[in-house]
Amino acid sequence: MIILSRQELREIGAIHLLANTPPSLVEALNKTRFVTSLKTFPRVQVLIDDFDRLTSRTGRSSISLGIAYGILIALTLHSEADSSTRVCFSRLSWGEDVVEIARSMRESTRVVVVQGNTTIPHHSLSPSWSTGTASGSTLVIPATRS
Amino acid sequence: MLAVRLKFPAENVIIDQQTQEVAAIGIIAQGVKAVAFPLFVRRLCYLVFWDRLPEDAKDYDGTFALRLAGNQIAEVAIPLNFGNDVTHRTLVRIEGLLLPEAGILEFSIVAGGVTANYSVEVRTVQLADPVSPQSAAPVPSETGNTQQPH
Repeated sequence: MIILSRQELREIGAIHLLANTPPSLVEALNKTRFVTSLKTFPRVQVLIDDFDRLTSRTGRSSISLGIAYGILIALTLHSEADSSTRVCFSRLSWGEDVVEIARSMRESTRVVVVQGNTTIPHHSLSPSWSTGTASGSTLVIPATRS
Repeated sequence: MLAVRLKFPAENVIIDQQTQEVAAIGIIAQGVKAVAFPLFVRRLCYLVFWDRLPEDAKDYDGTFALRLAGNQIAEVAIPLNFGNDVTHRTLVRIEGLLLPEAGILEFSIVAGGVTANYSVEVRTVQLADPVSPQSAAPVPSETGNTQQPH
């Protein structure tokens, strides 16, 4: 399991205490080393068992709730697959919202910017060439006349 | 197999940085109207939502093409990378576009043997004839009496 220092535990508890909306909770927890490490944790069943244990307690502190939300976010964004459906996230008051927000973060998007033709053609237009690009960067195509 | 869930052109598409939610402004569903040609369009966007089955490949080589009246205006290679997800979105922003004539404007992305295309009509509209001062309708004054325009 991942070992957390006292400072990290306090940080997670503070994030849970201070977050006033599900998006702010997700954003803050997602930046912690704790959640970042859990997203690639190889044994997903361990995370599921820990989540069940933390959320089935009657007495919950901000730290335990923060850890539970962190595990839920990590399960949803896990590198293998979205495993949030394998836990009862409705045990947390913002469980459903957190899962929905985290799932939307999974959606991959490719944005390509193309410079259109801004020269007035005398003849019909024809494509020229395209440049290779790294993931998510800009492609520019200068137009030429045929 | 790759499938297209939704596709449409719009004047602008915004993706929220925090929530990744998409907002489209000015969806072009009823064509583009122009008084005269060439027509300059500051920005056009084409958005496609893709789905794949878990057993399908994660990466595809796609090609975006823009044609007007059968003439190709732009062609761009666009990779589709699903990662571990079964959904993916492609947003093409065309900045600065000159439409030289009326015709069918076709947006198209081809990937994995699947084509996501959308066509809209670019057409000319006529302005109403200007009205001469002599033939203008009487203009009511503030007192309620009508007056002929000078």
